Amino acid sequence: MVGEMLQLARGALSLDTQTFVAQREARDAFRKGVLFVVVITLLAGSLSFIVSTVKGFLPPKWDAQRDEVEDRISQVFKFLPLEMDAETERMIVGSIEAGLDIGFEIAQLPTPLPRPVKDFLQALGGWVTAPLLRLGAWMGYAFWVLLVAKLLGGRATLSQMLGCTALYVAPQILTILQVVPCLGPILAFVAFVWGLVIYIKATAVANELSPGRALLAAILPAAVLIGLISLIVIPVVLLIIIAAVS
Amino acid sequence: MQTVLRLGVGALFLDKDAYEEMRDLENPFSQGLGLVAIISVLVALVALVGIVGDLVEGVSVPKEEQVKAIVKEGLTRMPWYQEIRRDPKSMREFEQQFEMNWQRNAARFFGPSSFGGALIGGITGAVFGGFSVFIGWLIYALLAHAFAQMLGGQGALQQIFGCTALAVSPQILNLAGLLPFVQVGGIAGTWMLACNYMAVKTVYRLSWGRAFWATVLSQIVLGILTTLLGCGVGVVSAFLVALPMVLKGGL
Repeated sequence: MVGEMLQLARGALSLDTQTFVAQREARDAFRKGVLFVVVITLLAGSLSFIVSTVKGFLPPKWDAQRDEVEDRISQVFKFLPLEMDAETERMIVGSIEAGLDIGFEIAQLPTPLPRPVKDFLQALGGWVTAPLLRLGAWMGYAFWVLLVAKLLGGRATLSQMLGCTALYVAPQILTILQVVPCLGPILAFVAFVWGLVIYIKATAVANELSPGRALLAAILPAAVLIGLISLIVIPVVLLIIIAAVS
Repeated sequence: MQTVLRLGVGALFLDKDAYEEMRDLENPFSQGLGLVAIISVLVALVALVGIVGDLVEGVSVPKEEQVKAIVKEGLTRMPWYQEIRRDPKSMREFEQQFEMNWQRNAARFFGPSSFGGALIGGITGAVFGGFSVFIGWLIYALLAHAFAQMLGGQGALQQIFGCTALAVSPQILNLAGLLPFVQVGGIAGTWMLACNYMAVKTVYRLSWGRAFWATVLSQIVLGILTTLLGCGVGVVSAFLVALPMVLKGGL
C-alpha cells in the first residue's frame, strides 16, 4: 500500500499522464483517492502536531510571543492603504493593545487540565480534523467542477472524477515544513499552485477534455463563488459603512 | 446482516456494484431499514459518549468568572470606553450589552458547566441525532422517488429506500467526533450527497444530468423542510416557556 501511495504521489507530482489514466480506470479509484488525501494530509500536519505537543511541555515565553504578535500587527499597519488622523490611530492602537492584554492574560490563566495534556489534545484534535476538512472541501468542490466539465462534454463518472482529482493533494506534503518561519508560507504557495496544475490535469484526464476546457471547468466554480460573495458581501459592507457614517 | 454491512462499506466508497446489488435484492427496504437502524443507534451513541470529549474540552479552559473579569476589565481600558464613561446612559447600555452577549456566547467557549448539564446535552443530542438520521432517510427517499419519477426514472420505491439507506453510511465519520477538539464539519453531509447521487442514478437508470437534479432538488427540499421544522419547534418551545410567565403575570 505504501509503495502504491508513493507511486501515485510521484506520478501526480510529475504530471505523468499514465498515472492519471490508471487512476481513472481503477475500479476503486474513489477509495484510493480518499486514502491518498487522508495519508498526505496527516503526513503534512505531522511535524506541526509534534512541535505543538513538545511546546506544551516547555515553559511558555509570553513576552516573546507578544513581541511577535505586535511586530506582525505593525507590519500590517505599514501596508494599509488608509491614511488616518492621530485621534483615529490612537483609538485603534489603544484598542489593539487592550485586546492583546485580554488575550495574553486569559492564556496565562490556570486550567483544570494540565497545560501539556491540553496542548497535546488540542494538537491531536487539529491533526485529525485537517483530513476531514480537506475531504469535505475536495468532494464538495469536485461536484461543481464535474458539473461544469459535463456541460463542456466531460465523460467522467463521480468516482473517476474524485479518484483523479484527489491527486491534487500530493504537493501538500511540502507543507510539512509549515512550522519553519518564512519558508512555511512560501512552500504553502508553491504547493497551492502545483496542486492547481495537478487538479486541472486530473480534470482533463478524468473527463477526456482538452486542457483549456479542463482549466475552465476547474476554475469556473471558484470564480462564480467569489463573484457571488462579492455581490453579496461588498454591498452589505458598504451599507454598514454608510449606516455607521450617517 | 453481514450482506448489508458489506454493501454499506462498498457504498461508502461509491462502488456501483454495491448499489446494484441492493437494488436487485428481494426486499431492499427491510435490508436498508436494518442498516439505517444500526447507523442511527451508532450516531446516538456517539452523541452520548461524546459528552466525555465535551467535558475534557470543558476542563481545558480557565474558569468562566476569571475570563469574564479579564475581558470586562480589558474593555474598560480601551480608548472608546474612556469616551462613553462620561455618559451614564451609555454606561448602562454597555453593561446590558456586555451581559447579554456574554450569556449568549459563553456556553460555546466554556462547554457544559456540570456533568448533569453535559449528560442532558448528550441525551438530547443522542435522541435528536438518532431520529434525524432515521427520519431524514425516509423523507429523502420519498423526495428522491418523486423527483426521479418526474424526470422519467423507472425505479421502485422499495429500491430507492434500500439504496438511499446505503447512502447513510458516511454518518460513521461522526465517530471521529468522539475525540476531544475534533471537528467533523460538513464531510458526512457532502459524502452522503455523493452516495445519494449514486443511489438515484442506479435505481432509476437516469442520465447523469437527471440524476444530479433529482439528488440536488431532493436535498434542497429536505433542507427547507428541516429548517421549517426547526423554526416550528423553536416557536412552540418559546411559546411553552413564555406561557407560564404570561399566565403568572396576568394573575
